[in-house]
Parts: sequence; C-alpha cells; structure tokens
Amino acid sequence: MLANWPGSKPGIVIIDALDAARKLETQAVLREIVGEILALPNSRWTVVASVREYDIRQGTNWRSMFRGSPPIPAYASREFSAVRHVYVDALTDSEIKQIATPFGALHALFNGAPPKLRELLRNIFNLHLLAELLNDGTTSEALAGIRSQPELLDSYWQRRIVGNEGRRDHREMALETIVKKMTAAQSLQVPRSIRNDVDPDALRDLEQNDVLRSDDSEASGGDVLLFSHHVLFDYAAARLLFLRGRNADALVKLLKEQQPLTIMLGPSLTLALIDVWNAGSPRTGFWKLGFALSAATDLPGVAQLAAPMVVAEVANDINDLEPLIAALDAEDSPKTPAARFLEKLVGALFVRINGGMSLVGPEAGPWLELASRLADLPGKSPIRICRPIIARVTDSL
Amino acid sequence: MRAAITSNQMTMAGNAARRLLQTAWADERRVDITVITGIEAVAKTVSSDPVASVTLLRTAIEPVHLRQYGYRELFWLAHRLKEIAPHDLEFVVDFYQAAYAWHETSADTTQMGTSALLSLSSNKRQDYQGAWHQLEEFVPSLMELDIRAATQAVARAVEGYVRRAHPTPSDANAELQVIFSINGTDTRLLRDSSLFWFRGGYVDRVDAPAHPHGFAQELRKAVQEPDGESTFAAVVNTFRAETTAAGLWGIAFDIAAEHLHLAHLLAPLASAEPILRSLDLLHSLGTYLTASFHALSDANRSAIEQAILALSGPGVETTRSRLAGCIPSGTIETTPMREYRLTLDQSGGAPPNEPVFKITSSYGSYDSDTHLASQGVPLDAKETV
Repeated sequence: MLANWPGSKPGIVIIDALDAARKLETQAVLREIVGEILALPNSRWTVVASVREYDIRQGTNWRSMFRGSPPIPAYASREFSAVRHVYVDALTDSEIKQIATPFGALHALFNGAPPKLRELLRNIFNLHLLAELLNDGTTSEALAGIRSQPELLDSYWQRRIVGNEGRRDHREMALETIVKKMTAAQSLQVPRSIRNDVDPDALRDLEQNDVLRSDDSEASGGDVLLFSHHVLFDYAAARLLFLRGRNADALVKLLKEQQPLTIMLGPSLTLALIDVWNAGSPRTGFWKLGFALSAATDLPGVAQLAAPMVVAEVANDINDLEPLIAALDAEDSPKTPAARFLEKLVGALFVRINGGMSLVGPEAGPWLELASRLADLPGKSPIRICRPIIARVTDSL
Repeated sequence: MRAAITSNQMTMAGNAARRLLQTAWADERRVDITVITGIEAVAKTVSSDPVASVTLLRTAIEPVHLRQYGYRELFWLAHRLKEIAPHDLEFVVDFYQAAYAWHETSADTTQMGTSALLSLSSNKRQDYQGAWHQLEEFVPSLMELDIRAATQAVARAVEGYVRRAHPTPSDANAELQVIFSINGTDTRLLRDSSLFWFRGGYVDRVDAPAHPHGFAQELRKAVQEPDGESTFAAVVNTFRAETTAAGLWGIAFDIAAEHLHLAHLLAPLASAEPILRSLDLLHSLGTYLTASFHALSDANRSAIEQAILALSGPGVETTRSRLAGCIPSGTIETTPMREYRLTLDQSGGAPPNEPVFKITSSYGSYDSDTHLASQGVPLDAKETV
C-alpha cells in the first residue's frame, strides 16, 4: 500500500508502543511490515516507532532492523549505540515543574520527595500514577515513603482495586480472569463479552476507576476492553498470576507451563521480583525465587535473566548478596543454580555498564566487594565466573 | 568523567585478581584468557599488596613454568612491568634475567586473537620474542626510575643471552666468566664474544644484543645531565657487582672516552688484567686510553702502564703493544713504559687500534672466469685457456 501511495514527498509511518504487541504473531506481522517498508527501493517512507528500553533490549530483531548510529548524540543511550534511535530520557526538574506547577499537591510532593521517589517520578508514567493517587485523595504523607515502581503501583492498587468498600476480592477475581484471558490470547485486550465470565459490578468499578477502559477506536468497534496503561497489565499479572513473587515454586511452574508467554510476561516477572526484593532484608524470598528460576534450566533465557537483572539494578549493599555468597560457598560447581545465577548477574552488570554504570568510584555498587568475597571462598567456580568483572575493573586502571 | 577507584576498592580488586590468577594457574584444563586476565589484573592492582602480588607473579618466571608457558604469558607480564617497577624493582631485574636465560625455539603455530573472520597466526618463538621487544622498550623508563635496577636488568639480560648463545669465549682457552679483585672487591667479567655479536657489524635486534645499543644511547643522554657523573658512577658500580658482559663494559669505556670527567671512574678497571686481556674490550679500551689518559691521575696512569707491561703469556705481545701504542706519548707516566714505547717505535711502531673483528663488503663484475677462478681453476694454464 505504501509503495503505491500517490505522491513524492517524504512520508512517515508512526508505530506507537511496539512493546504493546505481546502476541508473537502480532510482533511477527509488525516486524514484517516494518522490514518491507525499510526494504522499499528509493523509499520516501521513514519508520518511527516507540518502544520501551526493556523490549528493545530483549528483542534483537528490532535492534538489527534499526541498525545504525543515533541521529542526535545528545539524545542517545550508550547501551544502544548501534541502534538508530532517539532516547527519551527521564523528565528533568524543569519539565516536572512545568507539569506539576498547576497541581499544588504534586508540586509540593515532588519538591519534598526523598531522592529515590524523585528519581521514580522522572518516569512520566509513574508521575501520572502519583498524580492520580493524589487526585483520589491519597495524602502526600502516605506517598512520600514510596521508593520503587512496584510500591507506587501497590499504592495505586490499594486505592483503585482494594478500596475500602469490601469489594477487593470481586475486583481482583475479575482482573485475574481478564489477565488470564489476555494471556491466553497473547493480547493486551479482551472482548467485552468477558462480562459474562466476571462480576459485572466489579467490571463497572474497574472501568469507573480507570483501571480498565474501552477501546473506542473504530477499528475495535468499541467492543474491547484493555488496561488504561499496559504497565497496569504487567502489574496485575505480577500480583495475580505471579503472586508478587511470594511463591517461588508456583511461579516457576507457571512459567514452565506457559513458556511461549515469557516475553509477554517478562515485565510482570520483573515487577514481581522487585516486589519480593522490597519485602525486606535479608531478601530471603527474592533469593529463593531467583535460585528457583535459575535451577529451571529449561526456561527461556529471558526468564532466567530477569532476577539477575533486578539484582544488578537494585542491590547496593553486600548484605543484599549474602545469600548468593552463602549458596556459592555451600557447593562449588559451575552448574549449581547459584553459579548459574552469578554467571547471569555478571552478564546483567555488563548491560548496565554499557549503559554507563561504573564498577569503581564512590557511587559504584557492591560488585567489587562481591568479587573479593568470592575470591575468599574455597571453591574455584565463583572467581572464574567473576573474570569479566575483574578484567573490566583492571582495564580501566 | 570516569570515576576513580577508591583505596578500598583497589584492595578488593587486588584480592580478586590474585585469586583469579592462582585459580587459573592451578586449573587442570588451562584457559589462556583467564591466565592472561589474571596476570594483567594482578599487575595492575599490585599496589593493593605488593608482596602478595609479586610473590604470585614470580610463578611466571620460575624456570619450569617459563619453559612451558613463557610464550603465552611473558608478553603480558612484560607489558605491565611499568606498574610493578615502582613497587618491586628486584622482581623487574629478576624478570629480565629469566626472560633472556631461556629462548623459545618452537615454530609451533599459535593463534593471534579469537576472530573467526580474520584469523591470524603466529608461532611460539615469535610470541616469546614479543616479550623481549617489550623489555627492550621498557629500558629507558626503567633507567629514569632507577638507574641501578635498569643497569642490573640489562646486565642480566645480556648475561642470559651470552650463557645461552655464546657459551664459548672469544678469548682462546679462557673461562667464560672471570672474577678479579679491585680494591678488595670482587668484580666479574663475562667474556661474551661481543666482538662478533655487538662490535662486528650485524646485531640481532630481537634478542638481548638489542640492549647494549639502547642502553648506550640512553646512558649517553643521561651523563649529560647535571647529575651525569653520579649516574655513570652508579652504572659502573652496578656493573662491578654484576657478572657484566664485556660488551657492556665496552660501552662504559666508550662513554668515558667521550666525557673526560668520567674517565677516572674506569681507571681501576683499566689496570685490571682480565680487562686488559679481553679481546672483546681491546678496541674500546684502546680508544679510552688514547682519549682520556691525560685526564687521569698520576697514580692511575702509573697503575695502568704497569699493568699493561705486566701482561704475560703466549700471544699477549700484540695486546700489550697495541694498548701501549694507544697511550699518547706525552702522557706516559713511568720510565719502563717510555722505554717500551721507544723500543716499539724503533721496531716499526705499535699496531693500530682497529676493531678486532669487522665485516666489510665490496662489489665488482662476476663472470664465468671469476667463478672458475674462485673454484681454483688456473685460468692462465695452457690446458684451461
């Protein structure tokens, strides 16, 4: 169609949220279309697509399809230096001020927020969520303690789904049915006919609370339901399917049973892992889940990498890593779940290093301390696995 | 801006690096990349614990280990001596000694890099020689850091080469190493055959013969500095404490001949019999006597003249007459030397002080007659005309 579109002026094909396409078939169609457009000889068409970092990181096809140099160096991510992209960075203080000034409570909350919450609010979705909570009447004091996106989503969940009218179970059951339906269909939307399977009052509540909304586009005929933002789907799946990571065996069993869904549920798995990480030191629940995922060698790589990615992102104290050290100490073999975890953690750290993280300096995480602690263990495998970290650090000296 | 490693992080990196290298070396199935990472990491974190780091790195230069893995490892360690030297000069000196005491001769193929697209290969001998190149390159920096250690390193490198490549001295029927006393202190001379491998024209730039040239070049610069005399004195004293090859002693005599204020530092050597007898040193010593004899003290001149005249034994007359002839007649201090020179002059003069061994070349037409003549065919004989 585009090849035969009349005209000679440059044209732009815009695809918003490639990451919203969770179904493998949909992803394949999108890739095929974009590939064909890019392959048109002397094409006047430019493809502009938006996608989350997570998805471009996981999907090598998109990276190779958009191979090239970032056109605007000031808006480029080091991690994707070989991808032709424009990096939409976190909101700056002045941008947040611009957004929050008309909304006094939001402005005051941001100004008084501790550093971790401020960083969280630089993500526009998080800012939007927080603004909605304030709008709902949640007090600034109740929100000031939030440190992570799952905590923010939990506050949202408490307000919009749990509520205080005693209808929590109805709403959660309705959401669980919807999420399962979406998952089974590998789609982020369900036909409205789902109302036959769920409590209609709960469905009405969820729509009224803007957790779900109708797709009123002509293409859908207004006949489908979807989450008001796909992160809400991810979080709903993290809570209702993955039980916030609190039951490691059940979660692994589910992933094993639904392996094709790993990519679709990848963000949910990450949210569940962060949630269980935040459940408190010494992170026992997290490590139980992390090792269980690591032991399930038949799971796709994306699932096995999720927990190490979370550790690479959030661990900032050697105490967080003690269970890993203890497990590596208990048995020296490159094939133990702990050793496999460590191997992937090293890989995850390199993803972050490519994004600008440093292993040295006052702001560095506990990674050199981890390598040094592993050096003191009697077993040989851990220090061997740490080789890339040691090489990286000493290369920079 | 790149963050700098903190002191605590350096300690932890050093600990991890040493364990990595220990583990890599202990592995039954050796993985070269792990060993190389370990070597580099330990060298770069040496400041975290110099004693523990160097103790571990010494494994690399243990003779058995070196012969087995030197072609794999030595280059990487040689490349990192600049980090180690400020913490342990003794190791650096020992490294030079070990590296030149052994020579990898195998031409077995080795892979350079891991690229499947651009697969380059080398061989064990070349890989090992890569370390020598690094060591040669490092000498100027080492001289700047510590002249004594640099002198020791070069002396031991050349000693290793001589014992390996020229174990038979150029002086007939002589031991390779001679020990003599100067003012009650033992001094060692290695009769190194350098008149062939260093003074003779062709110099092997890959092996240790590359060192004397580089060392001489840097020393010539150093002696012109304000503290040049103390630098030169340090070199001479270090040479005396080492088993120093004649080729290196020759450099000292050459430089002293160029800088008269340094000449007195070598006078005690110039009156030592093994030095006077050395064919490898003959030309340099003669040059030194000609250039600087007048700058020496009366006592030094007297001692040298007596030592020259005291030379005895079969075939020594040429050496004695040649050295005596190098002394400018107006600077002769003792009567016996004056008389000896008079005798020499009356019998046609002393032999000229020319290089003992030199390679010359010439060119001309080469035809069938030339070829036949070279084969001993009498071209003028009736039967061959």
